[in-house]
Amino acid sequence: MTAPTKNWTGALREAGLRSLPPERLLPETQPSYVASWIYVFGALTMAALGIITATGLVLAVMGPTWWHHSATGHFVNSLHLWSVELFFFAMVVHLWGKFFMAAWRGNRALTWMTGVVCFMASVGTAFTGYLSQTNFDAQWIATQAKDGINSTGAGAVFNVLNVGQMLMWHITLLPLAVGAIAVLHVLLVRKRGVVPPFADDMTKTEVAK
Amino acid sequence: MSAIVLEVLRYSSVIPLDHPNSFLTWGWFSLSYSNAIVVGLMGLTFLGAILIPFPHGSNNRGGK
Amino acid sequence: MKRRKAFHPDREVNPWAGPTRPYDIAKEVVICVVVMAVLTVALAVLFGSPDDRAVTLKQWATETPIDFAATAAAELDGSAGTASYGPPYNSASTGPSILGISPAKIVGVHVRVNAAKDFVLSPVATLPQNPAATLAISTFEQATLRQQQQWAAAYTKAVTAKQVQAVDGRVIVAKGNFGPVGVIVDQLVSMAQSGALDSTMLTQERFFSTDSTKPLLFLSDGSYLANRAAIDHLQGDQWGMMNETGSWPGQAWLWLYTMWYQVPGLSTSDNADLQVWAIMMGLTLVLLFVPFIPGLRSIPRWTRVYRLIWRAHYKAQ
Repeated sequence: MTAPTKNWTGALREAGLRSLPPERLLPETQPSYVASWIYVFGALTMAALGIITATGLVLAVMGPTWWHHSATGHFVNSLHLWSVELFFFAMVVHLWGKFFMAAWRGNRALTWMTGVVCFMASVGTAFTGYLSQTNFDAQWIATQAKDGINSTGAGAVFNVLNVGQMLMWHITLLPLAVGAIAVLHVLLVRKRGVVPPFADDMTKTEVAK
Repeated sequence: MSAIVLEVLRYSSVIPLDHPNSFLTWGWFSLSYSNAIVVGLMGLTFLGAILIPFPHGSNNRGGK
Repeated sequence: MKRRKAFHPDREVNPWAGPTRPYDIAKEVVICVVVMAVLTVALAVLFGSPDDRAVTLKQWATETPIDFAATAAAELDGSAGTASYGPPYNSASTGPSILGISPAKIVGVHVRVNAAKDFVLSPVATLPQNPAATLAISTFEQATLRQQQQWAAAYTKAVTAKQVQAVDGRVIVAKGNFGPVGVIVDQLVSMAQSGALDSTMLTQERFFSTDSTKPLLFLSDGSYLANRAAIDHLQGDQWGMMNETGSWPGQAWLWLYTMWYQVPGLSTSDNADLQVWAIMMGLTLVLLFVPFIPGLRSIPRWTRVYRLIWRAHYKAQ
């Protein structure tokens, strides 16, 4: 038998398998305490994100003003809007649930933080979506939002009045960011597992290795 | 048939919301009815999510 | 070797050594997608989505010619919103500051807009075969800056007087020392009413355009857009950021951001935009670092909501 080669590719595979072995990535069991509807809201948020992406893809394929003059387009726009409302709805319930479970305990702070960053990136994505509507709502939001963004100096590179620029942010940069952070967030959840309940007696000192 | 469906889709709603909103106003506080409904449902959903029993939540204790 | 150390219940957990239960994540995801898809379709069919047509400069100049004329004159005398904005559009002011620092001024002018030229003079100069317009523009441009502003300010004062009327779309103002400004504004009003200004400003003599910055800035300097927005409670002081046209729900997740603009003190501050932004950035950092903030991270333990979430687990203990 020859010794296993240790090139970069092999090391990368081994590191991946070590931190997320298949049975941890897609387990068939969960700790017995994972028994509440509140656990469903993370998956519901991801599901809504999928529907947002699918409907957004249709709108992108057909072009930015299609939905103004096509009944089908308007309906796809309605699907896109309501999936966004559902997305934030589920995400906020998920956030409240994770807060009251103190889900950052046990080396899970990064999971919490990626969730917060994902929330903020989602707010930004939704905002640029409203700016890309090419209707009165978009006109008004752009002229109002410019003052806040300009006051920070960011207006120099992020011009909310430029509909072409905002559309690009909305359909390329920001969805990529939200998607990447969401995937990282889910992988961290799978890696660390679901946070256990508070111990009954939290005053005692525990044995640590 | 499909023409009728498309007409419904054009005006795009069974319950048209294309009219001015009403607002809950209390001093400097102001919230549209529709936003209030969304936020209220969020609160109810959260309560439901933690109060409604999850199927097999207590009787399936796996290894015990 | 084992050692004893203090246990921080808000930071640490003991690894779970208890029982497990079957849980099908793949099935959960599929059911979630189906549920969300059904809800999305149901809501879309039930309520649809808003789409109020974009406001045009033509509409603005046709429906409220006096407001349009007054805005054009204010761009010329430097008092309009864009003309006096500061960075990133021009150097007319420093922009909002906090603790004496103005980030916009530090970053500088990067989306250059010359309000008088871009919104008024250049469009009128493009009018073909119009000797009156050509003469007025050249008279204006050859005058000193001081003279230009005096003419424009005189016209602004006249056009904002109470008794000003519009007859057949033409704005009638009392006579005054306006120089060529009266002619320039009249020409711009009729140009806008014909619809020509919309295309001229958007394309800026280029065929393709995806940049709506200039027409939007001009539009927002008048009262027409704002009055239209006020009907739908979209203005900043109406919690407008979280509202939507019609009766649809809006961006309710912006409730905290828009709330600060209503708070006495901030609602009247010249630097509110920057102050509110700073507050929101601070609060975002707080949310981000909840796991590390003593007190805040203990709230879940103190409120004991977790006893409800995990009640089956505690009952079985």
